[in-house]
Amino acid sequence: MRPRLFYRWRTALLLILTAAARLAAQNPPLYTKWINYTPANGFPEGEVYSVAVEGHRVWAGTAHGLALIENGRVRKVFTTANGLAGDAVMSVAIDPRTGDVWAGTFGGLSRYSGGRFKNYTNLSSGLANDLVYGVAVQGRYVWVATAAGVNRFDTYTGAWSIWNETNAPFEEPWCYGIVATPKKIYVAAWGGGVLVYDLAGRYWKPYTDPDGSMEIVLYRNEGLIHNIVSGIAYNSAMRMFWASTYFGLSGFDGRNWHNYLTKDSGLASNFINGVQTRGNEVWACTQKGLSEFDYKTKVWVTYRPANWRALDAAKAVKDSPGEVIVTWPDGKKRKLTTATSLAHNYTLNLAFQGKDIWVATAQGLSHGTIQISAGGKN
Amino acid sequence: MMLWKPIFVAGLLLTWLIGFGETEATSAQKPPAHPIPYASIGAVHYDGPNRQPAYDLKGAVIRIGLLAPLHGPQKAEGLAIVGAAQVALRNATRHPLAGGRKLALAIADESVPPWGALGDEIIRMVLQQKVIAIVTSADAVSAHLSEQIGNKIGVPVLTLSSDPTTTEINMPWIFRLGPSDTAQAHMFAGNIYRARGLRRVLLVAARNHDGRVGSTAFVKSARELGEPPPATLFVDSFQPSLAPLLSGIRAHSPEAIVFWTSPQDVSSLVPPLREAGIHAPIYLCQAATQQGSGLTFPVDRMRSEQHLQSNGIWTVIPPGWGDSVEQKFARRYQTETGTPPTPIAAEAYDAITLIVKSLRQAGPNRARLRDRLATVHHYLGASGRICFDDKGNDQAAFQLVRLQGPKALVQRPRP
Repeated sequence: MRPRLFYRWRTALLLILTAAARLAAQNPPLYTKWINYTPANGFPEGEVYSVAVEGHRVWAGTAHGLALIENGRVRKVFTTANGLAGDAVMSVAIDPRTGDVWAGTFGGLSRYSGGRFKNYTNLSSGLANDLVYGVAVQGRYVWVATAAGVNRFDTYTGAWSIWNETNAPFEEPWCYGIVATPKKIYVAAWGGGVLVYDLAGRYWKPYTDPDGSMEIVLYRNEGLIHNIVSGIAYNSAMRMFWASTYFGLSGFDGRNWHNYLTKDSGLASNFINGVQTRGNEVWACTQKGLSEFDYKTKVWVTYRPANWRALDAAKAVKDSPGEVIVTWPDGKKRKLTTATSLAHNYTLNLAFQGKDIWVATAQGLSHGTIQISAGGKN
Repeated sequence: MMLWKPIFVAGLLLTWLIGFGETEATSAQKPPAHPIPYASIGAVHYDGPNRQPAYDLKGAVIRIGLLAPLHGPQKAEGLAIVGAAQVALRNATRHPLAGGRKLALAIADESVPPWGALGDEIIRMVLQQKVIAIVTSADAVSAHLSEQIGNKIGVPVLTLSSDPTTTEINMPWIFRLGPSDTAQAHMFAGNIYRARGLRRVLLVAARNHDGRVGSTAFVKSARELGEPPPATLFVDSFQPSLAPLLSGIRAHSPEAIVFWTSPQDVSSLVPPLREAGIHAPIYLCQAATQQGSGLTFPVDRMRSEQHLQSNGIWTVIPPGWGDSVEQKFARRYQTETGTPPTPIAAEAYDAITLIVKSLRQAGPNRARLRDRLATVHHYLGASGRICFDDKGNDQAAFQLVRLQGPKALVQRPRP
């Protein structure tokens, strides 16, 4: 009798847990309120390439300068006229110790400190190239992803280090993104896959597409999806790095690869411009909207303007309704409509501010919040 | 009742055995010859912004960016590309653009140090000169840097580089003219290993991105034909003396030599090889046949199997080469520059012409121009038929031809 009772209890518990998981999966928290920053409210026109959050301040790297939003208002737009190295700002990072803002531009690297810019270029410093695609702060060091390799700048001594195909296992020196963690540096390389630098061991480890072909994925979880990597993020909770490519999303947990394409997931598009992670969430910035993947529940949510297919022909983007598509692990989808939406379906990057998200799109910066009703329901 | 249990168990066992046996037999009978890929890059579709008239380029002059080497050892090929582009622009501007706008070339020198100033040059063209599109030379580094910038800013890039990896990445902004390294490698390998049955093959490749990508394509083609990888020698552009390399080539006693190098390497390596009595057929990638190689076009047409077996210098050209459109361009080009055009010069002419034609339809808008270029499927240009597939590759059929080079290069062929 005893074992039978045990099995009954175990079955019941499993059923309850499954039901709870299902229930939880049915109600993922959704971002339903969007405030967009466009030329209409003093924000620069065109693409927003990067965004970084520092408390109540939001820094956005745009096609026409570095914009500062404070308490929901556009405070200032810095351009080359204000001393910025280049007007097209590809990346922004904030030093949490000093509050200095580092901007990677198409005219070099800029440091905004004490209300002034100091610029580092190929000719004036050890910067490998003036095309700066990514910047990350790790303690006293600033790591820079350029079109000619990776730089490390020591803010204490002013010394520059460089890694490229001549002194590290870089297939190509073209670096498109970088993220720093206390132990490792992760680099997204155009043509070279993902490169990881071990800070303690002082060595690089490359991760490349193992099938040897640029145009196919031979087996689903064979390794990195593609060698052209557009963005990189590290999640300390999952202990995984996530790489965005123009052919799908790849995650690596140290042993296994977890690849996602539109054909087998709720990913909006395989063309992914950037990736960020938080908790169990992986956010893919695609050309067909912003896709959120809950790694634990395997539920996908995609956000984009409802009229996204006709958006480019439309005159007014502001306040257009939004479209939310929830894709369950079994592939079933549910479409919801929201009153407001992302500024554009072509998303480029993302930053978190508590529970809020700031999304860099091709036509403005979008601030997304989870709206909870009086009944506590989203 | 008692009988049912053993019968049931026996039945189960039998079913399992039969089923298991069938599975094994089926998998044994049909082994997958080639694993089916889990996913393939499909048609590239661009869902990005900026097609509205508000994003049209302003100003009375619309500029087309052109990257070419204008100094140093590759100056000759750069000037050839610029010359062809100028012929195309003069031809295309006989009729003004809508609104009376004028067209101009924004030329940037790519012979600056590649990891430093080249990026700045491209940025200057894109952000300051506001070019509507960029045409890059046969150099793959220029092509990739332009592609990376074009992808962020949204600028169409037409490249003359044969590097296939420029278009194998689901990227909507790039279009590649001419035969890819893969296509050229297949043709060379097929002729060497299959048509001629040669085995002692030597691959001479430049020690740079182009040499690495091209030689990889050739090794892959050889492997696909079931042949061992060829012996490979690398040419360093800073090599003080070519003597060790020449003796290295001679030591291999090759039956066929494949060059994936610059035109300058061809001009300095091939004549001494011929003088040393090495008359093995030489295969040149298209980039190696540019101005500076000492080679001239036209070419010997292959019309028989016997012709295919002949020695000499071989390369790949578009099938339309020598047709009326090309001849018309060749006459104009020769009149204006004093030299006959190479296929890459003709591709430069086509790239500019295609941009202007598409610009007339799309208006001065980079995103709309991109959309228009993506619809070019059957365009008969000076370099032959141009047929972009849905990934931006030129899918026109190409052919292997023997060059009629100057006597210094092509000595009397082996009987």
